[in-house]
Amino acid sequence: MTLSPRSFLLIATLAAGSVLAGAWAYTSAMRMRFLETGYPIWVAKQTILHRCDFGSVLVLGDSRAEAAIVPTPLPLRAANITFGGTTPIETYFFAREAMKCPQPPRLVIYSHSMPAFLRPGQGLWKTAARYGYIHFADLREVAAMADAIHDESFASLNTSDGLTGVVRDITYAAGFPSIFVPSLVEARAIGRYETNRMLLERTASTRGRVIYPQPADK
Amino acid sequence: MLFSSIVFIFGFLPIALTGFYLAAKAGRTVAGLWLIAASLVFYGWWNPAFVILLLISVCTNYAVARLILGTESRPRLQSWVTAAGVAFNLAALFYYKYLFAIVGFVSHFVPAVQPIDQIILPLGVSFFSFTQIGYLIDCKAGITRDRNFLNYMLFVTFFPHLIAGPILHNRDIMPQFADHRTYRLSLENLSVGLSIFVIGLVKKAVCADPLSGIVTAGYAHTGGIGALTAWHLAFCYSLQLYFDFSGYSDMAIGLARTMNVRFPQNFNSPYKAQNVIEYWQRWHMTLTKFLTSYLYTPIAMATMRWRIAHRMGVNRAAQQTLGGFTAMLAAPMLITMALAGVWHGSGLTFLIFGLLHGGYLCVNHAIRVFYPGRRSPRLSAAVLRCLATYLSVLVASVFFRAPTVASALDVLTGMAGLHGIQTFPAFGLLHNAFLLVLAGVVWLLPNTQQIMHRYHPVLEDVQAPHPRLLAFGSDLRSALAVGVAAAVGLLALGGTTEFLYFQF
Repeated sequence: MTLSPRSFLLIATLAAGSVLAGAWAYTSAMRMRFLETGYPIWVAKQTILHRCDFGSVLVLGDSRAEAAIVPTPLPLRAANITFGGTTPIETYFFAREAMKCPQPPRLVIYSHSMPAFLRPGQGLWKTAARYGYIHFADLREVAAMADAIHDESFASLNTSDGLTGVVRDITYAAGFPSIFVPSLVEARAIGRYETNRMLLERTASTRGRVIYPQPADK
Repeated sequence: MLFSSIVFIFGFLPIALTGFYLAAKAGRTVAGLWLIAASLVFYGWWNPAFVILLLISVCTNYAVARLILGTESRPRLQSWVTAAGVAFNLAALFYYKYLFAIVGFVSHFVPAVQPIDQIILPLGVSFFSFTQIGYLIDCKAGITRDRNFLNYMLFVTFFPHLIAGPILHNRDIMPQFADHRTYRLSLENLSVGLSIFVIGLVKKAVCADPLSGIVTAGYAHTGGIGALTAWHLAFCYSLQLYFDFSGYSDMAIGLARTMNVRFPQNFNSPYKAQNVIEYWQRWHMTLTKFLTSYLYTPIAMATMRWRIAHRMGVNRAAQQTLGGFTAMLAAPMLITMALAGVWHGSGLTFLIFGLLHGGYLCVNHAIRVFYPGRRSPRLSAAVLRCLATYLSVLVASVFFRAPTVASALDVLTGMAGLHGIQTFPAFGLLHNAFLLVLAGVVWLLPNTQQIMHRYHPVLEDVQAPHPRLLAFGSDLRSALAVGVAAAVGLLALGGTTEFLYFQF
């Protein structure tokens, strides 16, 4: 059957749209099945944060604190909401969320290594935004602040996807499926569920303390 | 702006196309101006300052072309004006591309010469300089008669070819911009153009980009590289380069077609070539045509005129003497290919790349001239010729990619087994299957133009594909295939997006 150019374009667009919509739905709903081991750790810690379940002591920072500070033996109820590879930018948003809780922490331990203060990292998009814990408004807030203080390091930061500026913020905040494709391929789409589920439970039980390296990605 | 970027696909392209079709209703001039404006936005996206440079280049070349056309009655003056115009383009090219490297090189030996800061290379300077040099020479030769500034501006700045080719010839393109039928909405051209674009996108994002990390990491650490790793690295790069650049060319051809402009073919399954002469007739074909027309032929013709003036032969028998072959074929070929090498970049590696290919071509021509005869038609002989050609190209590609001559030699000595065999690089079954699929696409499947042959995708005639099942048509199967391929291409945009040919 010969199609008119109009029908051809319509069918091709519908086919492309259907595949993209399917991929978008899968990557939004099934992240535990294919994302790398960082994801369940983030989910476990962010759940503690969202439930305001950190107790009296809140630990914020990067991987050093993540490995070094063990909340469970402490005499006070504590939670380690640190994330490897993060900078003070991400931590600022987590601290802000914690401060909105009805019972803010009595003590905050804040630990970032020096280089993290000097420049933003790709993790802001590749991890925090991609995992769904930094939103479009947050990214724009950082960009506006960087503009206001004439800090060009934020705007000039190139992520390996080739994206920059507001387009990058939209892409990551919206969870456009292309940003998940490398993980989908590595995980053969579903191959990481068991490992991720185990890590989620373990991180929740240790109140956020994580020692690297984690079990190898499958 | 990259063709395979989200900004381009979801932002620039829809706006540029919609604006073009709307502007076309108001006439050729308005649509042409819209295209120029869109092309300048496209060019300036990365660094707006270079739009000024582009405009200076276009306006200066146009003025020189008018002078050339206006001095037809004074041949000597016309020659001087042409030479000045060509020198202007070469000077710009030299300044942006070679000055830093040459001054750096000289400063090693002459203490009085201080190294200078790296000069930022304007995107596509090699491409638009070559395009305009060709135009000036054609004005001088009387080939070009179109004096319309709008057509000229469109010819040079039209965004599908502006920053990485194909290198257009004014005779092919300016008449299309002069034709009022170009400025309209043709749904057939739109669907054909977008289909070609999608094939290019898949080649770039799905086939080439996943190899980028392996190649970059491999060429960063070449010391003591084992045989299997070295072969794997060279093979990956040859595939990456082919899919990257031919994918880009497909995208450019497709984009032009959406605006009713037909580009020349730039790739014709080059790795299927059975000798290096044929390889260059299939790889970056527009560059080969340019170099043949404006460099090789003039040098060869000058040599022949000199020989005639000195009562030396120029016929086939003269070519079959060592002196005649060297003067009329080998020397022009080596000069041309050496310059083709350094056109790609200022490093010594590019010069060696060019000379290697020049050497291959000389050997190939020597066999043709000194041992004429029919090639064996047997499939096994054809496969062997194809393999020998690919291996020759593969060796040269190591110099093309390696950051230094030393690292290229590391890879080549590794390939020769001088660093031991080592185990096969541990990239896993999926990666090896991926390479196998890519090899199948390269050597067994028809190319984009063959798949699209019913719709005359390029200016040249194209053969029908084998198997014919892969021929693109206006049917449900093709529409679904294009749609799914578009989605897959878009999904694959999360990796590296860097066209290799932008740096040239």
